[in-house]
Amino acid sequence: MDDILNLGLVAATLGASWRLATPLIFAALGEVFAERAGVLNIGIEGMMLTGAFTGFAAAFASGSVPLGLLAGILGGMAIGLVFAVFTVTVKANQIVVGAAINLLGMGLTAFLFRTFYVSTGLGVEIAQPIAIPFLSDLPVIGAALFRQNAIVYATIPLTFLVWVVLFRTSFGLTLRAVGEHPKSVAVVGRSVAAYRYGAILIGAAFAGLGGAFLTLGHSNQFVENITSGRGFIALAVVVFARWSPVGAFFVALLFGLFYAVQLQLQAQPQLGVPYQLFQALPYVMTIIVLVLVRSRRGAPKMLGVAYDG
Amino acid sequence: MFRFTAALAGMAIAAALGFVSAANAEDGFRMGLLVPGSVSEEGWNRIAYDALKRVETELDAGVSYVELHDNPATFETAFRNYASQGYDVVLGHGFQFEDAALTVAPDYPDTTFLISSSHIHDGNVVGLDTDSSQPFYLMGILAAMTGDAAGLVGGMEIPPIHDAFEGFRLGAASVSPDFRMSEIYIGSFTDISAAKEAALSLVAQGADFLVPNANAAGLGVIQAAKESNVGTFSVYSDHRAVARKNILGVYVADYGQGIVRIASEVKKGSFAPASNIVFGLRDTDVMHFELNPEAEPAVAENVRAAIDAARTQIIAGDIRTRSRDN
Repeated sequence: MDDILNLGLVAATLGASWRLATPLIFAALGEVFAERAGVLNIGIEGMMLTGAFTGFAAAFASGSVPLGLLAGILGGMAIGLVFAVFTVTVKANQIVVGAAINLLGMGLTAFLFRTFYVSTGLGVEIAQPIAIPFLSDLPVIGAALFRQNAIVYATIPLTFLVWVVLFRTSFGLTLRAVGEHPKSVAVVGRSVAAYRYGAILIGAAFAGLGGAFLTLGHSNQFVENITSGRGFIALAVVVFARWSPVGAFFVALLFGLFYAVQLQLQAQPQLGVPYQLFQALPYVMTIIVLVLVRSRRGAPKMLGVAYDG
Repeated sequence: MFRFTAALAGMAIAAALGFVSAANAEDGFRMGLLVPGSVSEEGWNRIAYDALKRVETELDAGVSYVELHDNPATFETAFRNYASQGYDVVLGHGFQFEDAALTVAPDYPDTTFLISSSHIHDGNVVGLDTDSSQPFYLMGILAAMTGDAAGLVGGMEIPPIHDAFEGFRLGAASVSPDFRMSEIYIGSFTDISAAKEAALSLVAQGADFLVPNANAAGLGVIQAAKESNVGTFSVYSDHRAVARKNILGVYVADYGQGIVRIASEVKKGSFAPASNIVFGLRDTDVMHFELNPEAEPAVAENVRAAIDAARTQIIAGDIRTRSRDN
């Protein structure tokens, strides 16, 4: 079609990157919380799916997007509570519980969706784009980048908020200590289990929000397995970002960019490159990242280890 | 422990052989069904199950089905089990049942073996398929006569989707050789967000028509068409309620109706196909392509005429809508 290096197209791609990155950013921010407290939650895919469904269901019933988002967060947290009970209280293997949570999220949401909603494709009214004054009037990039809905914009303040909580508050300091040296936390009389519960629930809330964005802020309905592996990519994002919330924001954006670019390039048959190569791009990137960042430097020392206090 | 396991295995085998759901009309017309997965899921297996239920009520048939969960070792036994009980029709729902049917069929010449999404025709084994390239050809004509460029969003490049898109391209090229078309495959049938962004990127590249073919994820394409206010089509299901003004045409294939029709021919004894069976626009009871009267702007009169003319030619066999052999 048009020239690839058309400036408007580049701007449109950047806008698409941000939207595609939004669910990854939320999920990755949540995972940073959990992993900083020493909990490896690979169940975010299941939590996102649950959030996507409960968010959709609430918005469908009430017609309100904010209520839907709240329900999405609560749905994620409900599944998060199950994960926390099994990993912290029962001290079961975190990987196994996480895998079970993913299966649970997939099966439960598919079952509930089929039971309560006939798939007519009738959806909900999604969050409307908001034009940011001045910025949205910038030539070329303005309309593409600064006419998103509030959930997309929320990625920036929430990233900042997570950074502040983790690195500038006493709560964050203790939480990180739980992931590095839980004994020291126990010694000063604080409950390691309580902090891990908190970290898991906050992480699950973010995952639920990321899922709810898919049904309430992007497409207007729930589809079985709508997350399509975003929870797993978020796990890779956290490793690549070396457990930093700000890093997670930019790495997720990078993944969103790769995805947007591959979609854009597929529509350019004159390039003569098989589309399968482009399709594989985000996943090849994930593998490369995990190979490059294979050392555990920067990882919380107690990551994935149950605390026997 | 061993006994318990053996009993369990026995039950599993009994279930696999279809003893669990025995047919109710021993002497009347009977139809058996082999599905590769669960019929409780919306989708491929459910289509066959619903068709079987319609055969039961509309043709007063005894019916039975068995879920084989993609276990090829059981296919032949299942066919043999139905045929040896004197079932008149056995439908294997998927091309993977071809080989087993071919092995079993010569032993049971009085049974008709139907295979879904197959192009086989060998004695009493008959393949059934729907040719989506035909309605897509008509969509191509509509798009090329009213717009400049189309973006096609597919789930995966599997034969039915590839054929459908080829039909669209041929239809568009037949009225306007300059009409531009780009394809994106999202590599998923569930990633509605990726489908939407793919569609938006095609619009950013100049597409004024969006053509979805990605099952549930295709709804993302319709959503993008609504937000960008460009034309689109509803494919396989009627999604007009989602974007009343933007959906210009609706294509629905009622495969179950095709099964019922063939089963009734078998029942009457008039089923003697000269080749494999491909449902197309000719089969007006199975394949529907209609323009949406609520579309805005409405489809112009000359475009309607061109679509009707092409439809007639396709039905007459004067236009080939795909290169792959039937």
